[in-house]
Amino acid sequence: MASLELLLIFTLISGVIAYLVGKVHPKTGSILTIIVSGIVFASLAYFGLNEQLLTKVSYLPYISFIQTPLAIFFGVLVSFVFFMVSFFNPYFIDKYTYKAVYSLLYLLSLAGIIGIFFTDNFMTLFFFFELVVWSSLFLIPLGRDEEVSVWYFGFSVFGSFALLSAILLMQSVTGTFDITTGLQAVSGFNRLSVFILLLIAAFAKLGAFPLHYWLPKVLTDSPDPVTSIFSGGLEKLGAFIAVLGLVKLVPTGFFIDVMDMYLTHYILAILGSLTIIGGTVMAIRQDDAKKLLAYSSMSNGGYIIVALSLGSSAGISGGLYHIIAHAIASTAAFLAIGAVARQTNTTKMSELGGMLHKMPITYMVYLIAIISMAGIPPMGGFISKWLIFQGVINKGLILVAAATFFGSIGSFLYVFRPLAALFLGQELPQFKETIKEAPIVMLIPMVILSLLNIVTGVYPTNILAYINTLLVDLNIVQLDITRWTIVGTNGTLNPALIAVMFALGVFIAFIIFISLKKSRKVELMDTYTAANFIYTEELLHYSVDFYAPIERLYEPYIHFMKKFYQALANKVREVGALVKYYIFTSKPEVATFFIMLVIAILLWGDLV
Amino acid sequence: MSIVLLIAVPLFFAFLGIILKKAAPYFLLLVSFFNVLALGFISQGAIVIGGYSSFYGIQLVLNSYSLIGLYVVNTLFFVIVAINCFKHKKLSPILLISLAGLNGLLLTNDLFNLFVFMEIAGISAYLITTTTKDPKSTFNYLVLGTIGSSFYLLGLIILYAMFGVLNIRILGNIIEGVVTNKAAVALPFLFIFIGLGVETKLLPFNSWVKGILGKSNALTGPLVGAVYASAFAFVFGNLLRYLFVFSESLLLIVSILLVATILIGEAMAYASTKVREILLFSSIAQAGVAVLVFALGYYTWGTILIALNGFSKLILYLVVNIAVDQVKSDELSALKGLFVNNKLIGAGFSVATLSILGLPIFAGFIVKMNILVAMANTPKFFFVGVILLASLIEGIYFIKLLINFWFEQDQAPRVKYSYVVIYVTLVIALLITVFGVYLEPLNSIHSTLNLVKGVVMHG
Amino acid sequence: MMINILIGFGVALFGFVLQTSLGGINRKIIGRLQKRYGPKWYQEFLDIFKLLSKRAISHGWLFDFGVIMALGGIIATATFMPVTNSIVAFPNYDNFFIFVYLIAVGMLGMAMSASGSGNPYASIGVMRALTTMLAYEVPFMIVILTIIKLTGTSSITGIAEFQQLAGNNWFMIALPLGFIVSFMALMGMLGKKPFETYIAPAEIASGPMVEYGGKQLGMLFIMHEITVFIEVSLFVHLFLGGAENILIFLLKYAAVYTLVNLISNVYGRFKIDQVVKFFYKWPLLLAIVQAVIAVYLGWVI
Repeated sequence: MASLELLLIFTLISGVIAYLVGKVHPKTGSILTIIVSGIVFASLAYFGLNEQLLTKVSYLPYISFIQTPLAIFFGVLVSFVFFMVSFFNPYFIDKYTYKAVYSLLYLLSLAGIIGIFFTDNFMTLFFFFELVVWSSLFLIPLGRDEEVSVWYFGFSVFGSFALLSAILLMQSVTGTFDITTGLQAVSGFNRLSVFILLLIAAFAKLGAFPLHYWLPKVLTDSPDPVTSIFSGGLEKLGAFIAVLGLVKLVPTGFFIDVMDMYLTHYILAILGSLTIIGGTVMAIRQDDAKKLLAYSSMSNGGYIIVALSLGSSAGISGGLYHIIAHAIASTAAFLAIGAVARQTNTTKMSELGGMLHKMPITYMVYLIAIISMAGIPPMGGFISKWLIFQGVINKGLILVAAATFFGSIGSFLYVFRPLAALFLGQELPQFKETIKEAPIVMLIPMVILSLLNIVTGVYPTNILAYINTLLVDLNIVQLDITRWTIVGTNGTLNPALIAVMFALGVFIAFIIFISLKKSRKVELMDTYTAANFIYTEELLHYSVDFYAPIERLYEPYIHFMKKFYQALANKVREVGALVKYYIFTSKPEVATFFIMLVIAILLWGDLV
Repeated sequence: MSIVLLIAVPLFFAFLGIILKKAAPYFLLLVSFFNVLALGFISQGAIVIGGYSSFYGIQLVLNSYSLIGLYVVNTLFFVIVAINCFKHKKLSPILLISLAGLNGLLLTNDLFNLFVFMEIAGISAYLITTTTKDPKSTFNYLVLGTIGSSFYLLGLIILYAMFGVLNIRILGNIIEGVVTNKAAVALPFLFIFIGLGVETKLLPFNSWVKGILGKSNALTGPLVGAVYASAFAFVFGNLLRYLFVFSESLLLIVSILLVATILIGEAMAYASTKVREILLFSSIAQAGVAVLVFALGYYTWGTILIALNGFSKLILYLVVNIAVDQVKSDELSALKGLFVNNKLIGAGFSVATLSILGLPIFAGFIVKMNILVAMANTPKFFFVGVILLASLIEGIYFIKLLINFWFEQDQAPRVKYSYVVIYVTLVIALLITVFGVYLEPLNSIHSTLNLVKGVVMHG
Repeated sequence: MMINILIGFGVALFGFVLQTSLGGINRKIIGRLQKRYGPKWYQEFLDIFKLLSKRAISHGWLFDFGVIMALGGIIATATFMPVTNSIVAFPNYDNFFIFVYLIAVGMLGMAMSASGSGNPYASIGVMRALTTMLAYEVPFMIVILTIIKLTGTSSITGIAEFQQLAGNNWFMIALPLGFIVSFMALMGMLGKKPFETYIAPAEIASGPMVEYGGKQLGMLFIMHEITVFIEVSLFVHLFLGGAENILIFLLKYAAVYTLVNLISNVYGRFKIDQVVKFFYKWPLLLAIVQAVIAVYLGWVI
């Protein structure tokens, strides 16, 4: 359907229908989510990419729509993620305490997404923003631990209120809630404040330092499909706000000539670098695969911020491309881990091993996803990282570049850990007989995502062309691309050529391989053990404390953020307890004392 | 029908109920229902008791503002009574008297008459709170309430001595016209503020709240927390609109007190682990917000805020108090998983909570946004920041409460809610959701309130 | 396009032959240094062909697939490497970052296959290899950032030609601190002592290579030789000014590799956390200092 309003109403009503159906038969309710998110994605993709979405509003009050390339970019991406993840819903629905509500909240979040991206009115944006916050909030406790959702709410609402303050500031200056006029009309100190407030909101949603504390907790303890939605979809809300704040709001402040950047943007790049380093360092030491990937999401959020704060064509297009590449890769990785966790009920790598042999397709999906996340050609992550490097080097930002390189190489480390500890290595006896490959309905989205990973890496031209139209809309110089190459500021890239040479290289190696003598197949346990006899697989599987040597180097320094936030919460509690103790006694004389005090303050000095 | 009937009928049946003890609860039920019905048939206007001129006499005013207040208070009172009347039969006459007092508070336009009704409502409240079986907190409440109303009396005495008139509207007009040095009237206004502040639960006058609402049961909790709170908030709003004139230092003191009420109230709620305490401290903070909204001059949205809060609070207090009565403990850990077996109640409770927090598709969002936009346009960004900070802390502990109630640990508590409670909760929740999406009714209320002008002056 | 691809594979083959021969020659030099004769110069060729002709074991489809992917990735990387100013397969597309990341594909393939063998020594070895990579890459890349900013291009031929222009010194002289840092990073890349921790022959039974034999091991040896070729010629082009003709290239290449070998032969082996601590102390500091003085202050010799 081409009308945005109808799409929104359709999603909301089908949410309620999914709830009612789910009360009777939960699995059918969740199948409804697949159908509805598929329709939403198809409509947005087909009509949006042809610029044929209808924005007229007849029934809903006080809501107005607009279709901009930025909206279509984000809307298509996030609805695609929702659609792909929804395939997993029927298989996970039995694990939840409240099965029917899950489908309702899933579709409610999707409806909110449509409202956030496709509007030109800030109050509508905020309305749907908060709707997404509380509908995703109640999805979280259906997983492992309930208390983490409170942290999510706290940080999210902090970001939302920063957004609201920015909106109110713009409204008080311009008198309207319109997005474009609001962003352009603020000036001076107001402009700086709006900028900072919008970026606080973006940081809170993306999970960037210093507002990152909720991200690993929430992503680990949510149900597996919900984690995938968060990482691939809902964090991109933060990226959207960041684009609004960083790119649409014309920059402001003190300009640093030697770096060709504004001071505010440089500070943002530094914060992004800290996010990258923090996410990477914390990811390396994790034992839980989901927490590891959660920190990886945090790190990639940092990449997006660094890229967007550069302001050049390579930077912005790198950031936008990274949003796509990361969304696809991260969703695929989380889905693969979810497929494993569904059968083993654990995501801790110290308890798993050798999943490859029974789940080869899941393994390949995970492999392709991590190749993209680490930024290795020929997958999509390489293109975006290459563009970001171009941007960073061109501006001569040494420290930011150091952080980016560190994150890039560090990502090899942490993406390899689940591969080696979870999928490879020895097959543990408790899982040897019972593990099977994931059902075909679950394999479909994973395979589609892997194919997209490859396509975005080999043939990025179409997406980059669309990003170019976006850049025009954002008043930035377009990226120079031809059919097969991308021209950066200090070099040219031909992704298809790399892929072709890689394929040819593998072909030559394959020829060499099969023309030589065939090998004899042996068991996994039949390995070199220096003449020891081993009968238990656990002793031969290296997964616990995988990166112990490097972890030991930074172990003492990592808990400062946790201590900070817990101290903050404790301070609020202390203030409350203090006042409770002093004022709320059951002695009327205390209250009388305070009343007299207030009167005395009024009468102080030369009043009467 | 005349306006006076709203006060007279409950009073009459209260005394009748003392004589006919067996019939008293039925009188209670019938009269409160009658009050709600009668509101539909009374025409708006002003009457003066005894036919005196409005300058000297006791004037009762029914305009759209007081009509909204009366609807809220009477409906809430009826619901509470319907649920509780057969449990506390001896209190039926007292409840009728408090109904009369509350209605009088909302209708009167005379300062001294307001004091009288304040005392009536107050005394009946003290008697009602004896059902919590905690004489110390009742005594505390009694003493503080008396101190508060004494200060109010003192304030109005000073005003009468200065201006010679007790009619609120006329007095307000005179003060505005005549007074050039606002500091001269700062003291009596402060006394009136203190007097009303004690009952409206503002810091630092509200130390009675913890004892009373901290040990509440299904009758006193909703009554004091929802009905009395709304009634006194409406009264305060009325006075703030028509009477109060703020001098510099008074405005500063009042702002500091209100901001402290809001922020510290939220901090105290965050620091509590007992469910009843969380609710009562949250009520303190919200009372602060309501008075702040009126003090800054946003009368229409303030009215809607008080009405909405009244209904939401009713659900919160009812659900929590009934649960605490049955589980015999109000620690959060004892009530964990309350809604697992009471899904409908849980849904209604969640809707009410999310509305109080100001989350969308619920009416609270609309009200909050309008207030914040109005504040940002004045511009009073400091207060915007205060309200947002308070909402953040409030959100954190309310969501923690909700999550704890929905997800059990080992054994969900067994609490049974009567059908009346479930029905009422669902109806209010439904209305909150509908008004959050379909904005016409709220907008029409807003515009009618805007047209409320001074009442007819001559009698 | 076909010509370019053939030239590329020619370069890969040339690199393999060059490095294997030079490796053998170096073994003789080191032998003489240690007062013995050392093996013949074509010893490495004999080793590889012997391995390729033997029959070995395999632990599954991934075990073999990883080896193929490793060798394939490295051959693909080598095709992009320019040899002299004129012998380059894909003139505009030899970006520095392509080399860094395509080598990573090869490494990933080998790591996958090693861990897939089921032997914990292999996983430990891979873990150490990745940690070493984390250690040396960051200082190295900061120096490369300086070079790219100075020359304005990240193409290897471009950088080499920039150094050959009149008035420009080789970056070995122009960025002396950077040269020292990169030399140490090169030793880390090649896995020469003291950064040999990831193979650690007697400690973890050769690390990743523990389960290989026969053709798999032979292919991995070929992969290692070509990797060394890529890395050393990268260093030659980046710091020694590339080469105008093949003889100069051979000379520079032999000089660098022999120097690396000579230095590494006097060292023992670091522990893995010592490797990380080593690289993140002085080399990182020197690299940043070099970047600051070259990019912001412009003091280039």
